Amino acid sequence: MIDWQALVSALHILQGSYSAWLLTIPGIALGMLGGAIPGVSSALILAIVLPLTLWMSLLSALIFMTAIYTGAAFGVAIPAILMGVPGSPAAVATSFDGYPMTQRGEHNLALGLALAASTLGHMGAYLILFLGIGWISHAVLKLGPLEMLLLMLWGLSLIAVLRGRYVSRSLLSGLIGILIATIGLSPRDVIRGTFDIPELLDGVPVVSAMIGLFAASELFNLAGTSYLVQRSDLRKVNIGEIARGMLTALHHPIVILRGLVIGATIGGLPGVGAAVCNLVSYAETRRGDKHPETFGKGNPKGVIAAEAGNASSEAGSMATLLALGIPGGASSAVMLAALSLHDVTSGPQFLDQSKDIVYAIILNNFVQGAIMLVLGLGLIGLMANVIRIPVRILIPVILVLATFGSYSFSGNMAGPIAMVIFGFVGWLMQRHDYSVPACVVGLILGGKVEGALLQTYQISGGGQISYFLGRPIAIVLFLALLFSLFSRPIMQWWRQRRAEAVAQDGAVKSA
Amino acid sequence: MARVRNTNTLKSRPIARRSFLGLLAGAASASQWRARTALAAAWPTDPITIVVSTKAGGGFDLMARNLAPALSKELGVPVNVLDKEGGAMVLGTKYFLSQPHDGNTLLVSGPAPYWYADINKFHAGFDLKDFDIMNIQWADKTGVFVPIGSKVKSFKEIIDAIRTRPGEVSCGVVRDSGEFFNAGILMDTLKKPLSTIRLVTYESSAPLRTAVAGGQLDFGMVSLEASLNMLTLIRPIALFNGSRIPDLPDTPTVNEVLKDDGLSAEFVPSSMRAVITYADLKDKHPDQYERLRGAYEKVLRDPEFQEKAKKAGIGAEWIGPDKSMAVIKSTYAIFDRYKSLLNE
Repeated sequence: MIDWQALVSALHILQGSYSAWLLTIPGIALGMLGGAIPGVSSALILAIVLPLTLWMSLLSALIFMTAIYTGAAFGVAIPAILMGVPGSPAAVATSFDGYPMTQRGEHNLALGLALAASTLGHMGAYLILFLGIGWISHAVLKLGPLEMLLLMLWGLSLIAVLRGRYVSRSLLSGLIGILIATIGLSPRDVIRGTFDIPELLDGVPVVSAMIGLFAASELFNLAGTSYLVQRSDLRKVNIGEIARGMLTALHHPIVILRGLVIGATIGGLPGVGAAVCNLVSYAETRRGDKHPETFGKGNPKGVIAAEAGNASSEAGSMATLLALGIPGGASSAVMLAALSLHDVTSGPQFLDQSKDIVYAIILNNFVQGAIMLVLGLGLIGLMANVIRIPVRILIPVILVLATFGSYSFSGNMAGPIAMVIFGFVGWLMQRHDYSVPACVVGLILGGKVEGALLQTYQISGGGQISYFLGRPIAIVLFLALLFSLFSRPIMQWWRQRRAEAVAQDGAVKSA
Repeated sequence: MARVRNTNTLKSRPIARRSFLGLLAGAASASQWRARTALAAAWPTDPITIVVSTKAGGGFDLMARNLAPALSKELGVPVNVLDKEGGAMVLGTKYFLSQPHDGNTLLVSGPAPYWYADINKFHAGFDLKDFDIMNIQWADKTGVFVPIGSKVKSFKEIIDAIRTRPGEVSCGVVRDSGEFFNAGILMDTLKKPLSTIRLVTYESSAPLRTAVAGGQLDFGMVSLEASLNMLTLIRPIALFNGSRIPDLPDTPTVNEVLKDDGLSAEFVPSSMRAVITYADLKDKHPDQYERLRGAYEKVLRDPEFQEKAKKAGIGAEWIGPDKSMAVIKSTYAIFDRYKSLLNE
């Protein structure tokens, strides 16, 4: 559990390293601003500042980088809420309810919710990390391909429930998303659907396609209107409302807790990370709610669940990075590079010998949460002003920013080209009531699900049931997945049958 | 290889200026303009670009970035590194081929095993004969790893388990890697079909090592040197190499283990990281070719560079163009025999 001696030593280190503290604030601000530009990922910002960290001590470097990570995790929520354009796959679920809230003129409230949920998710997950970094990292190791497959299927099950007027069209959009995700080299090394274009060997650039789908479907839709928020009396930035949103988030501790447990445990899985956390947290909150039908139409709990899920995934990936030396995603891969530039190899040995540094990072991250609250309040107060910008100016600005963002993501023209093509596809889908979010969920998870499915098939000796039965975590996850998918329809069917039986009884009696 | 230092030095000491220069080729090389000598008055006059066909941060990229400042000093012009990842190394390699064949562009890529799949399976549109492999600078070996807590003590036990429990032992490899082929060669040597083991394929080595560490697999075959920093989580029980290595004196080679059964096999290297130029450069611009080759060889023969590379855990061997091409051709000959594996 807690190593008190290391903790005291960590406090001493933090007390003595003012430079590390000085870097915290610009780090968070940089992360937030970068994250707020669609397509600019925390990994990209981290890669840009990587050379700077060479001039810092190891602790300062790590604190600076986690500060950027922290800021970016919240920054991506801002365009997701205000414009329905998530800046990265980590904020996809945030847009599901955040954007409808903006359209209703509740943008202040939604931003407040997101900020509070992000902060609490971040701090809570680091608290879990503080109590049991070794335990978390080993829990992650226990999850094999089968468990990952089940977790991703959980996220994928969202396809069936995402907003859209017709269930069948939503399912079809989800399938289209999955199909698009299969373009390129398959996990079995079969080339599919590339039409001999070498740039497609790695598949469609997912982030660029996602931005295109969302940006075009939401923004083109607005082209006929004058402002993001229709009612002029609601079109203002109101700090009081933002604060009210922050308080509202506090009224849903279970939603936040659920999000941060999901984030802290599966956030560190290599290749899973924040992109899956926010979807699973959202799906699980929606399932557990009494009124699931209100999700996707501006339910505050949807925003809280998504933000708590993605903000806490940072702690999860730091756990595997520091305790095991395994990067969970692109951002922690850059941090791993920073560690090696400082001649440090993270892993169990590092955790043993430098526990004070690990504690210092964790303690600093608690404070980062508080700083983010203040900085975030200022930033969203500023950013929320986009609702006062006429749409005819806003759309071109966002599209230009998104184009640059998608270029920076792919490093070549494949990104912007994909963005434009999928922009058109998104516009068509929106026009004909095919759910764009369902398609994006399929696009993000499709490739990952296929990889996990293939590995599960291979590792179980061609799908032998004995493998599944020997894995208790998988059995629990499977049952939970079944429950999540079928409990409600079965209950409904049961109630209906009961009601019919009662009615028949009544009919029989009266006869 | 365990590079965890005393924590006291970690906290206070910023990184040394020298290692900064060593790692940031682009920035460092700008100042080398002045260092031009009379020799360099002819060629080169323009900056040289090393194209890397993988993502920044991996072994290939690290090798190129380590080489760039030293090469820049030798040639008197800036040497920049450009990462062009994607399509199983196809995109970066094709980009390199599309540049003018004048010596101003070099390539760091993996002619074996990765190009083999590119050429024979993905119809990448290039061939080995398009290139001059100047030097295989860094060839890693295949290691056989089990989780640290595994009951398995030796590779012999694994082989026995494969024989006595067909279809039950799981083995992880990165698809199309040297390990992938070595798994096939091993099964062939044991005279068992590949389906006797549960071969689980991964897209890169990091998730594979995680899976071995978590006990998801009975054993994993993965590049050895890059795994040495994970020895607290995974344990090497054998290596596919001609001889034991100094870092792991107690770990036997696979052929040592197979010898008990009177078996022996010819295995392939794990991953070859090579510096490459165009096949036609030698004829078209012989001076440029010689200048590049000479400068590169001189860098690798410099003891100071050797020491720095060793510290950074980067291979820095000089075997030259002729031997490099010969090694690759003999490796391809082995691959040809196991070509059917590509469709597994």
